[in-house]
Amino acid sequence: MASDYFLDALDRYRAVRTKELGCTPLDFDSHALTIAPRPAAEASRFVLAAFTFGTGTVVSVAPEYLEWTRANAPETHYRAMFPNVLLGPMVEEARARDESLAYRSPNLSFLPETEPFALPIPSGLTGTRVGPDFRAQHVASNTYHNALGEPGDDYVASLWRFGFVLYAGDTPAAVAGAYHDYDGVIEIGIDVARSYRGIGLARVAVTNLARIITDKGAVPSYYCAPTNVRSHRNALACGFLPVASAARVMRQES
Amino acid sequence: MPGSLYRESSAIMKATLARQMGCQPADYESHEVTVVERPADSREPHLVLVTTCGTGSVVSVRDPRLGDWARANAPKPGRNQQIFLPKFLEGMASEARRLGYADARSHSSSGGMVLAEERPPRELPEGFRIRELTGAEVEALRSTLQFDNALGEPDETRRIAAHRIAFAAVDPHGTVVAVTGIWDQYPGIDELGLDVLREHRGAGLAAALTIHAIRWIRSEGRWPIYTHGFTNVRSMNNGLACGFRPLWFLSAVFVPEDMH
Repeated sequence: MASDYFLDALDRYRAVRTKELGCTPLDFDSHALTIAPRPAAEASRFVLAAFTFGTGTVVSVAPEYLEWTRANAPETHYRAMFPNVLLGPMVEEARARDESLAYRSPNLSFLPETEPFALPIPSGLTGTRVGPDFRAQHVASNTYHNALGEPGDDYVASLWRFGFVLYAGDTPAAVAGAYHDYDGVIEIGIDVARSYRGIGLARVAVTNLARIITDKGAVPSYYCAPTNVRSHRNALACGFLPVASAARVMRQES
Repeated sequence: MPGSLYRESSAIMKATLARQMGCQPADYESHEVTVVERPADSREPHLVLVTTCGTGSVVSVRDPRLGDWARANAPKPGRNQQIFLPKFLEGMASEARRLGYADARSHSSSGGMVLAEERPPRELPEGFRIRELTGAEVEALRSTLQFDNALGEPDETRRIAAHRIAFAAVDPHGTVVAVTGIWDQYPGIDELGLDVLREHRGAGLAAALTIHAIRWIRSEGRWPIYTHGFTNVRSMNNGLACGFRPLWFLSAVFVPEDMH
């Protein structure tokens, strides 16, 4: 049985995705494909967002590609998530229009199965919340790119909020970063330094950050590529469950 | 941390997958792309199979010329999972067509899970029960196409030949409302497929049937596996709820006539 916490988190997550996509909550349960005009505020960066909770797929599209999407949409709703069905062809269509688009392959979205609780810090390590100073100090190394973003990526930098670090002495052994996902939802990214892998530090860092996010009244989210089986298993080990899959087509600067 | 059952079942499945692909289990830990030729006795009919267990990726080809193309077009080191992107898979399909495989095409990706925890039987809604289907019932239900995940479609002769047993959840009137089918996927390993009629979803029938199937497979001394479409979150969660955990991910380039 799903916990009350999970059902509430899922409701909140569906509500914010409804707002982002410009659809209705029922569209997610329609067992059909819904093509919705993308709200103007969302269309400036992402031309298309495709989203499914498994029981219907919503494709939210910028006005200039609405007609093309309707003409090229698959009959079976979830096929809209397949990169070679809609995402890739849209990039080709953009090229014909002398525009530059790129797509991101579908991901998996996770939410906590129960209210997050922080696992204890292993002996010999210290755990602490960190702010922008830590990010500024370590982002250039690209060692913690899931937790801190990649150097020079201003968009991701604008989303980064805070982090939780497990230190071994002065060395950040594991870093979990918190990013603005959507109103009331904060995404977690995690990196463990190579020499500290395989001893369960990802779980400790993620659950501590999830607890901090929860204490702020927000819902923690976690994402991974479906091919990233290790990250998928880490999400499960941290108490998260898969809830949705999303794919996007974004504008590229010329 | 993974438990002992997960460690055992994942080791067996990884070794079996490697044997079917023609690679070594260690290739899945390499952080690189390994290109291999499919062994003649592999049960996999796909022209190309691309698999990963999360670190290394393996491209297994039936035609060595496709292996040459894969090596020439493999992503840079550390980017091995890019072989799951359309650029690689569609490129491979295009190359296969150029080589004479006229209808070669890529297939959507799927995830695979192995057993990590054995769960007790689930209670069914009042008046419902699970029973084994007869061969005649399986054939009749297969022709309706309502239970194609569990039983295959009538022209899937390869899949039908591998069929071992099927169980149905029936309502108080005896009507079949959900089916799980089990087939001999690899030596020592059974895969299960599942369908629940839409109007009966959410009542716990999927988990009850899945656990019933797992227990039957284990009673036969074999290992169960569970696969799902990469965006099929409901199926994924059913697998998790029944004790499975993710192990591998797979994409393919295939010729449709080879699959039947």
